[in-house]
Amino acid sequence: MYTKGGRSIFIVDGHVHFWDGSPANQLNRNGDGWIRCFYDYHKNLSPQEYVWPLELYQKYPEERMMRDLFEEGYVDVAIFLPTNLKDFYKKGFNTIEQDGVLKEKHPDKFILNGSFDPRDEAEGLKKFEQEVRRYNVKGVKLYTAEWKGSSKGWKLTDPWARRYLDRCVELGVLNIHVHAGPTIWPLNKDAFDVAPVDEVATAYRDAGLRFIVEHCGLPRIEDFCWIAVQEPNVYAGLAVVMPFIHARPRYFAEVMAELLWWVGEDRLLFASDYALWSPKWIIDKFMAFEIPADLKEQVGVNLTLEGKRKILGLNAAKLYNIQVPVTA
Amino acid sequence: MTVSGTPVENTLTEEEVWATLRTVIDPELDRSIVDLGFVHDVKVSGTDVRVELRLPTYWCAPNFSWLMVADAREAILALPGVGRASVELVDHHAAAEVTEAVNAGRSFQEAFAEHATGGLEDLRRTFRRKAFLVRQERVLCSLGHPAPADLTLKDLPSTPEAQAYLAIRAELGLDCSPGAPVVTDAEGRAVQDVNAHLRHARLVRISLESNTALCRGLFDARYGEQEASGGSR
Repeated sequence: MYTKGGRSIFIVDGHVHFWDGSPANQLNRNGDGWIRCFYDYHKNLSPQEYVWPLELYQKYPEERMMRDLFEEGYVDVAIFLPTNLKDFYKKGFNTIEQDGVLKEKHPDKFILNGSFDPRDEAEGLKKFEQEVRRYNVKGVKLYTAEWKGSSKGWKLTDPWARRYLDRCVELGVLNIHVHAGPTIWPLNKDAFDVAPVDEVATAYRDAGLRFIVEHCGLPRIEDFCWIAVQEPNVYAGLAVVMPFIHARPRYFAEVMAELLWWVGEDRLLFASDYALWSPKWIIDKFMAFEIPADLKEQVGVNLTLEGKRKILGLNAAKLYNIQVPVTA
Repeated sequence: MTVSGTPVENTLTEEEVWATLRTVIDPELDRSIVDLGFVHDVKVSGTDVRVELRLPTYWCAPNFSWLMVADAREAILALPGVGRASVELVDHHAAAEVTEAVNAGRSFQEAFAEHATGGLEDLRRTFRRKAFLVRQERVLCSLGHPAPADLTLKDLPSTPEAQAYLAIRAELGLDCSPGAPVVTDAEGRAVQDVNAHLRHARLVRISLESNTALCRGLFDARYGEQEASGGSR
C-alpha cells in the first residue's frame, strides 16, 4: 500500500520475475546474452542508487525480492509471469516451478501465472492443464519469440495456439499476457508487430479472454494503440514504459499522454518487471508525476489521482478478482 | 613507379568510407548508423575495406540487423576504388550467420531459408512509410500549430525538417513539384480526415523517438557513453 498525506493507494505489480540467469544455470552463450541484455535495460533506466552489481542481478535471493516488492516497494500483490527459455538455461530462466516456491510460501502476496507453447502440441496441452489445476492459474504469459530447437518463435494465430486459447477459455484462464520479442516465424516479418493480437482479441472477445500486451507493444506503441482502440479486451502492460519516468521523463510524459488518449486509464496496468527495475522509485515518481501543461493541451488528456489509482492497482485487481481493502 | 596520368593506388581513405556509411540508416529508427554509434571500426587497406558494426543489444532483431550490415556493404562497394568490402556484425546472437551470408553476397531468404518466407523488402517498405509519416509530422510541428491543411511543398521553408521530408518524398517516388500538397499519406494520396491523420502521425513519431532513446541508452549501457557519437539527444 502506498500511503501519503492520508491517501492510501492499492498497488498491484503486474509483471514480476524470480529468475535464475546465473552462469551455473546458463546452457549456452544465449543465456549469457539474455541476462546481459536485461542488465543493460536495468542500468540504462534505473537511478544510479538502484543499480545492482551483475552477480546479484543474475540471481537474487528471495529475501531481497520480498523486501524490494513488499517492504520497501509498496506492492500489495505481485503477478508472476514466467519466461521459460529452456533452450538458454538448464533449469529455465523464470519458470512456474521457481515462482511457485514463493507463491506457496506467500499465497496472498503473489498471483502465479502459467504459460504455454503451442509447439508442444498435445503433450504440452496436458501439462498445461495440470499446471493450471495445480497452481490455480488465472492467466498466462506468452513469449512468442521463444526459441525451441531450430524454431525461432511462433504466432498467436497458429492453429495449435488457437487450441491452447480454446482450452484457456474452458479452464477459466482469462488473462493472456503477450510479450513480443525480437524473433518470430517467419523471420522476414516484423517480430514486434502486434497484429496477431488483433485477430485473437476479436476471436476471443465474446469468450471473455483479455489480452494484456506487455510493454504496450514497445517498440511498436503505434501499432498497439491502433489495435487497442478497436478491441475493448486489449490492455497495456506498462513494464519498460514506467522506468522512462526517471531517465527519459519527457518521453515518459509523451507516451503516457498518448496511451491515455488512445487506450484510456481503465486499460493501463502498472508493472515494474522486477528485477529489471524496482517498484519503489517508479511508484514514488509516478505519484509525483503530472502530464505537462503543453501535452495536456495538445493531446487533450489529464492524469488525475483517480487515474493513478486505477493504473497502479484497481485495473489489475478487476482482471484478477483481487479483494481491494476498503481503506484504499 | 609513379607515372603521371595513370590511376594512383591507395587513394581510398577511411574518411570516404565513414562518409558513405553516414548515408546508411537504421531502418527502424530512420537515423544514420554512424550517428547512432553503430559503426565501431573502419579499416582501409589498399582497395580492401573492413567495417565492424555493433548494435545496442545482443538480441536486436535479426532482420533489421541484416539490413544494416547488407546496406553498409552495398554502400561501400559502390565507392570508386573499392575492391573487397567486408562488414562484420559483432556481439550479436546472429553475428556469425549474418556476417558470413552478407559478405558471401547471399540473400536473407537464402541465409535463413528455414525461417523465412520471403525477402526483407516488405519490412523495409513498412518502415519507410512510418519514417515518411514521422518526417511529415516533424515538418508540420516545426511550422507551429495548427498547420494549414492546404499547405503545398513550395510553402515549406528551407529547414532540415523540410529537407528531410522532401528527401523521403523523392525516395518514395511521390510528387515533389512545388504545388504538391504537404499533407498526404505515404502513397501520396490526399488525406480525408487531417486531424486523425496527424494524431496518428504524432503517435508514430513518439513511438519512433522513444524507441530511439531506448536504443541509444541500451547502447550506452553496453559500450559506455563515450562510444556513441553524434545525435541530438
